[in-house]
Amino acid sequence: MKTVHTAPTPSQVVALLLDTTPWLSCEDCFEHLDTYAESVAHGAGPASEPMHRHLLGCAACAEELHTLVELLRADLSDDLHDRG
Amino acid sequence: MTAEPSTAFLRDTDWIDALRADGPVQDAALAALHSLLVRAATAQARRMPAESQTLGERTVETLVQQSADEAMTSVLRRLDSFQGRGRFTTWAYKFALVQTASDLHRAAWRPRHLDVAEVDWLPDPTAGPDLHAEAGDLARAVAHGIRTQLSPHQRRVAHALIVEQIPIDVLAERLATTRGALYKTLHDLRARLRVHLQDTGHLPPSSPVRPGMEAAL
Repeated sequence: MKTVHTAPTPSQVVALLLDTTPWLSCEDCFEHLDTYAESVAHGAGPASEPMHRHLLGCAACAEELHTLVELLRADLSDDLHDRG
Repeated sequence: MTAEPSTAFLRDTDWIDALRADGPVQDAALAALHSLLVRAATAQARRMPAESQTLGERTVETLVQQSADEAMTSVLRRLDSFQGRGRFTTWAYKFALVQTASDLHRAAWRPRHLDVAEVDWLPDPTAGPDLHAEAGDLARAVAHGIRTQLSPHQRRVAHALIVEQIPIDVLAERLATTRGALYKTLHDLRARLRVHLQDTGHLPPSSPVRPGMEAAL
């Protein structure tokens, strides 16, 4: 057994105690990621509490959401420029 | 240099029809889709500077292309599942993002030895009393909860994901499991720790713990 001689840091305590209920799987998050990202990119608030909680607790899904929102905002900017 | 295929004229239903068509119409749609997926894969790679630095520019470029190719296969395989709730391009982007993030994480971490053996969480014996005081009752209670309430597998996952910050895709590959299964483990161990700390009076009932609360601990 490896022994870790440390108490968790404050950021680790927060990460360990995050309330990620109601439960949502990474697979379900992926299914809704596109529509959720569109609502975020258009400035709407979190449209789904389970998605919001999952994204707080899952660094990988949150990272992918950020990239998707960034892409959508670039698309919106391009659309406005094309119409301009 | 080849100009990128234009997709501006394509509405969501046009995408589906064009991708299912034959001949030049399908060829143009496939080329346009691949271009979109490369763009998304490139955007994801740009958000991963640590992995890009580890892998080097040429390797990242190769992986971006491979990830886009893989994502294209996934998009075409799942075309029937597109329900039109959002834009087709947004739906397609997400396949490239997930594939690229996973591919870059795994490639960057491949040479590294991961120690995901059983761990025990104990106070640091070299730290002075001041440091222990700063760690606070809650941190000590969390460490105690980890030791007494979690299974060996839950302790391993907590240590790997939260202390060692190993990407979940990398850990899933090393433990021969899935990202979804590891996230479920993380969800369950968080719930168990919260209940334990509520039982011991370290957390009030139904207390929400949110990112950004570190300074208050």
